[in-house]
Amino acid sequence: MADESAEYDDFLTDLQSVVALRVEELRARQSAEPPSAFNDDEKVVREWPELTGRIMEEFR
Amino acid sequence: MAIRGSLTEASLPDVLQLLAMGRKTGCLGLTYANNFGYIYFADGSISHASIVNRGLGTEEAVYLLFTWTQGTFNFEPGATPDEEVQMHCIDPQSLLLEGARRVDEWALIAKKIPTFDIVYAMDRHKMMASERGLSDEEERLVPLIDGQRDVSALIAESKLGEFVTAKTLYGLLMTGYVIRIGVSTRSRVPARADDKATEHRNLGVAFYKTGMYEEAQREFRRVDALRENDPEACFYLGLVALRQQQWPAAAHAFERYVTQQHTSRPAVYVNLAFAYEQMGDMDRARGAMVEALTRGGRGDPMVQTNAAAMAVTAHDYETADAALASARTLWGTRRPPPAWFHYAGLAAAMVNDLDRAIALLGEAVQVYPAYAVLWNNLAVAYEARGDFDDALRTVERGLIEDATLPQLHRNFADSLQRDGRFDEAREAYRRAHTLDAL
Repeated sequence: MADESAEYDDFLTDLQSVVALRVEELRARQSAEPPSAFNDDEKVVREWPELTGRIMEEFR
Repeated sequence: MAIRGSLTEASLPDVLQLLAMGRKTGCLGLTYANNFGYIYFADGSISHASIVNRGLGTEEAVYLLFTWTQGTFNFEPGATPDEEVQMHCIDPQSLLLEGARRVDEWALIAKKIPTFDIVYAMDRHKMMASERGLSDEEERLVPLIDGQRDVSALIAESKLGEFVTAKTLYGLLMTGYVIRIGVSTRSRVPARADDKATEHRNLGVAFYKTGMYEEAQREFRRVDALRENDPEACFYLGLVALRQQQWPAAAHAFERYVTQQHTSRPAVYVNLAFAYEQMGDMDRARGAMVEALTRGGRGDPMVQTNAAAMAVTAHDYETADAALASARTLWGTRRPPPAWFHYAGLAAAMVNDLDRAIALLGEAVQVYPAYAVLWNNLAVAYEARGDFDDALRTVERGLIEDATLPQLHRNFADSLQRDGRFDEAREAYRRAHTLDAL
């Protein structure tokens, strides 16, 4: 049980590090072509419409 | 939609009844002179109320707010109180009668006790000579009336609340047991700049939380003037500018924080990154988001979700997917916010994992059914997978939530077209086009 927990913590740490590294070099990146409907801005909403989803209002 | 108005045109009892009948959830903010109070509603019941810088409980605060017959009110739908405050479930109707009685009594009390800086002393000879016994409230108050404490101090130390203290004092004045001897020296001493700044800060936060951004900006500018480079003032001035879509002003406020403060606050960098992104400066946006992640934000699911949103803007769906997975694990058993579901569904669809996109957005509309955007993108995912009946049903459900979203009309039109309902489809395409042009 302790091993599993440590393994999970390691996984989480790795994942968080990957995100930080990748954000540093953001570029168009996707492993597979999306369905055509998802490339059509007349069909899909891409930006979350509320500001609360994009900012942090708690001073932390 | 926010509801605003003047208390001279609609009284607080009228507004309370309206919100109760409409079973509203949100925050009603009230201003009167330099005072600000707020009442939170949950499904039409009062869940929490307070008056800034007064330290009153919920019921006491509402009763005092009833006496505000001038000023303005502003209802911000959906707003909820901070997690740490004590929550109630009070039917507003139950407070109206007592509130009306107190308003009448306050009018009488205010004639004898016009301000809270008055100091009273006991006329003990007169009290001893009387055969009248003291009430429980009087027993509590009399030992405190010493010719030194003013009314504010009596309220604070008796713990009877403003109304009961003032009413008890009024009774003692009418019997002649107490006499006025002057006003407290405290009121003649100008308040310290730091205390004033704290009062403006508290007002500013309350204004911000109730969507009164101009008022919040005014208060934080005052804090800024009293306490140079106050970190919270910089933060909130940045937030107000974001709310007003003043992106360079927002960036400037957060930059001021970053250059002058040594404490890491990932939220500041997330907001700075968003301001840069809106200004079209993706290089600086990326730099600020990296700072947010490396300065304590890695373990914060909100920071990870915001990093994902930025990655989506940059069409980096793999990074978005990783950040969203990280955020979900960080939330654990807690429910992620609707924006997380939106970006998670979109990122999954963009890497052609439609089954996962449908599972995520299907979960999203169960927990957040009021968001038409979630229904819309779920419908597109169904369509992309060839589940046309589900796509039509989903788009129709989304239109119930929001009939002004052009993408929903476009997807509705596509569904109708597939069904051979060409006239209806043409109408839906026209609506999509009209709404998109707005």
